[in-house]
Amino acid sequence: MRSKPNAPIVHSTVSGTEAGGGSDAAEADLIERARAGDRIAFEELVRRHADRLYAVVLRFVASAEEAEEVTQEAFLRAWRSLGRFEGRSRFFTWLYRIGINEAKRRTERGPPSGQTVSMEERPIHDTPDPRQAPPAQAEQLELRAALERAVRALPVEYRGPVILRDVEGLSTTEAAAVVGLGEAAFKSRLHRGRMAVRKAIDSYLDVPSS
Amino acid sequence: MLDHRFTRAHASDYLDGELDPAERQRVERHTSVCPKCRQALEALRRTLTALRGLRSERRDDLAAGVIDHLRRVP
Repeated sequence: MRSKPNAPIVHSTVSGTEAGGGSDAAEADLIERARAGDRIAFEELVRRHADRLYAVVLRFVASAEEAEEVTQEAFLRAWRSLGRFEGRSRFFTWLYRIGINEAKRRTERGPPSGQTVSMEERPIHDTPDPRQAPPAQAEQLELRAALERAVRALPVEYRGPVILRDVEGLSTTEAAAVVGLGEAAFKSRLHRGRMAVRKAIDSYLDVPSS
Repeated sequence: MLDHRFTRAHASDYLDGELDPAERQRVERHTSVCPKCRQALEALRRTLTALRGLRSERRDDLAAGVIDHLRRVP
């Protein structure tokens, strides 16, 4: 990783914050230091956000391996363009946007050579085989598998909102900012995405008829 | 008919707590007398609960891989 252009390389220690946690003030401090060329500060930002970014990206690409590559590439792009991050949105919002755009770019390019499994058929998590599990657990595993398929089958414009809002638990405002939509347009896509997922897993929902 | 449409169109906003009190009451009033809309709302509620369950465990090894990659890039 090259130091930031026109910025001195600064080495420092990061103390006190658990990866993924820490206050907004602590994160703002890390971002400022990273913008000044502090690689250690940027690496702490990686520790805070890498696994959640990976989880989002994983549902846009062809494999866990590709999701790791996209996550790496997203952080590299973030490091190189940190000078353009103006702090008007939260850091992870900006980072998720970079990651999702990179994932979409790869998906549009098509699968790497030799990789021909369709996205809908491919399992993305190492979930246990429902046939090997006790009945109650098997039902849960089948529901999970059906949900994964349903989310992956969503058109990309609905998939992002559902993953960010419902799976990752971002607020409407945060998730809309990640996908670059106004809140009204975001809510419309989110609702359509949710309804499509609901339809796909309807037989697992067991809703009382009265 | 208007309440059917309103309830279906605003089901997500209702479950997200993003309706104003009057709109919220409209949905609740309608679903108390319309079994189909009540079922549809409940199915969506269960869908959202199930989606929340898809969130994966933390993978602490990922950050190390990313950092290693960043350090290798010239």
